[in-house]
Amino acid sequence: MTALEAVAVHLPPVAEPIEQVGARLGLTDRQIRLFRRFHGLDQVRVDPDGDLTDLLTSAAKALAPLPGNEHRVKYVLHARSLPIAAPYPHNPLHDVLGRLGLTHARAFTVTHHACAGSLLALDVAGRLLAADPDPAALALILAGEKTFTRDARIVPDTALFGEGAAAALVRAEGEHDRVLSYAVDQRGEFDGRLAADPELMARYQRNYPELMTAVMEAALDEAGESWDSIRLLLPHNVNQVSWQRICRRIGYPPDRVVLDNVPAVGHSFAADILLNHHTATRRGLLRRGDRYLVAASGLGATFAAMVLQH
Amino acid sequence: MRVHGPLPATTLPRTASPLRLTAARAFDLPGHSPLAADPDLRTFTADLSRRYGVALDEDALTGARGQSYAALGELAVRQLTDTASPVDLLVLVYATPDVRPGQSVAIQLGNLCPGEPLSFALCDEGVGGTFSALGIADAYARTGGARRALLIAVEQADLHHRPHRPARLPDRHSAAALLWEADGGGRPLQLLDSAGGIKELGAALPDGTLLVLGPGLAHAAAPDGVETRRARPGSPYTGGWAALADALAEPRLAGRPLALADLEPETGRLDLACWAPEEPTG
Repeated sequence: MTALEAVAVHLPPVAEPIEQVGARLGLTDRQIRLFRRFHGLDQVRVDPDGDLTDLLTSAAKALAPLPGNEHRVKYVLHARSLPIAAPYPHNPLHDVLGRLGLTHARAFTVTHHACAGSLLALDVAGRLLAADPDPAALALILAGEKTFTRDARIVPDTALFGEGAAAALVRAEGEHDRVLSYAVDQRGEFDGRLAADPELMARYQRNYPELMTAVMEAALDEAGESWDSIRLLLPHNVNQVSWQRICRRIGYPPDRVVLDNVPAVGHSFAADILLNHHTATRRGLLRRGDRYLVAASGLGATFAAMVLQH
Repeated sequence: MRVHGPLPATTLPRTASPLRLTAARAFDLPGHSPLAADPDLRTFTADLSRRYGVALDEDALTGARGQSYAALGELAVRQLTDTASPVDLLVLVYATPDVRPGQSVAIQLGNLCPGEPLSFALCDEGVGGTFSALGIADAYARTGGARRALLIAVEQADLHHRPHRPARLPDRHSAAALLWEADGGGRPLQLLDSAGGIKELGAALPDGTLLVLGPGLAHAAAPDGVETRRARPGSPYTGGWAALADALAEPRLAGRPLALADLEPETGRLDLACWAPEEPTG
């Protein structure tokens, strides 16, 4: 079954306090205070000098098993929130291939699942590898984006985006971090610009806890697991309060939700669950055999969850 | 909601693809979308272009030019699906940007499409994107994830910035949509691969194949010993699939293998797909 061979992250060098970000976005003091005190945000990591190619290349270069195995990488997938990331015909993804010695690989972006896109990428990569005649073939998933426009900097009253990036090597079969289930719920009725449509925003926020919970529980059921058997929840990093509420709703201990990167990095689009995976393994929070749940939602809207076995 | 458990490690031993090409449509959508007049398009394009040092195309912006991938995709869904045949997988493929660049169109299309398919978009691969989408559909079919898949390639003709160098652009707004099914009739997918060079294409194809040369091969010499026809070069990302749809509609070609080859000049990748002669339904 599909397995993560390795996960690596790249955090850009600059940590901007949210007051600085908020001032640039024209937020009021009250809105900034809300982000800090209520949502648990502190700073966002950004790289004002680097572009998307730099960001993704840095994440991939942090993957220790990649050097020497480039020839095994058959697919490269950028899991991207924004449907467009560079002015055509600029193609940062293919520029990354050149820098990594991966121009032989089949490379494309999967998108329209917004910040739930890395779960989709893992499913697509797993399918491609399972159907590939070479059992040693690898897929490289890249995640991370630039905060180049207002909609890529803020979800009103919810999250501030950062430029954390991550990379994962995926195999069709592996000994650890194996995917036991995937659930995805796509809700086109929430399509639209939340910043420009308060009614849509209110409806999305009202339905969010129930939809997020439902997709996580569907993934648990499919994997034959329950909240009691799940060691950790690796969430998307929109904010802390929404996950605390969900924990109350499902009776799951909030200290088993990896939220370290919410104040430290910011909501890094589809990279969040990989960033949190890296944090969890670095902190020794997962033991061999532990089941864990990853969960994310993306504007548009997509709700997705996966159960994995460490 | 779509839910599945663990995937198989591998589908070896390698068997024929379960996918059959059962229907294809291609069409143009003249005119411009009202979304091209949305002031957000200027804001987004300006922000997108700034780091890359490219200028806005004021004529395209003030002229409110451009077409919507939602509109193109919706027409494709309506032409190729019906409620009696639910779709499991929908992949929207594009290379040039949508006139509403931030919209998750694939999610919208998934809502419209019978079967509430897993839907997503694939981009940044130029003409190779639709071949990748076909490979993905094949992989989902092989691993129990799809019995019916709808691939929709879209392109719209108007950029709202001035590209930093010459780039292939469509001369019209178009879509090509392909329906793939695991059951009954249609043309089984025989071959899907990246080819070494156009001269070697003939050796990879079954006897009697009609080979469609996509727009990326507009200036390439046809391979020896293979009957070819050429796609319309003005539709770089849908033209090859539109020419394939035309060939599928010709009854006299039903007993011959069909193939499509296309080259993405940006990456140099030459892709090839081949389908067996049509099999009777039932």
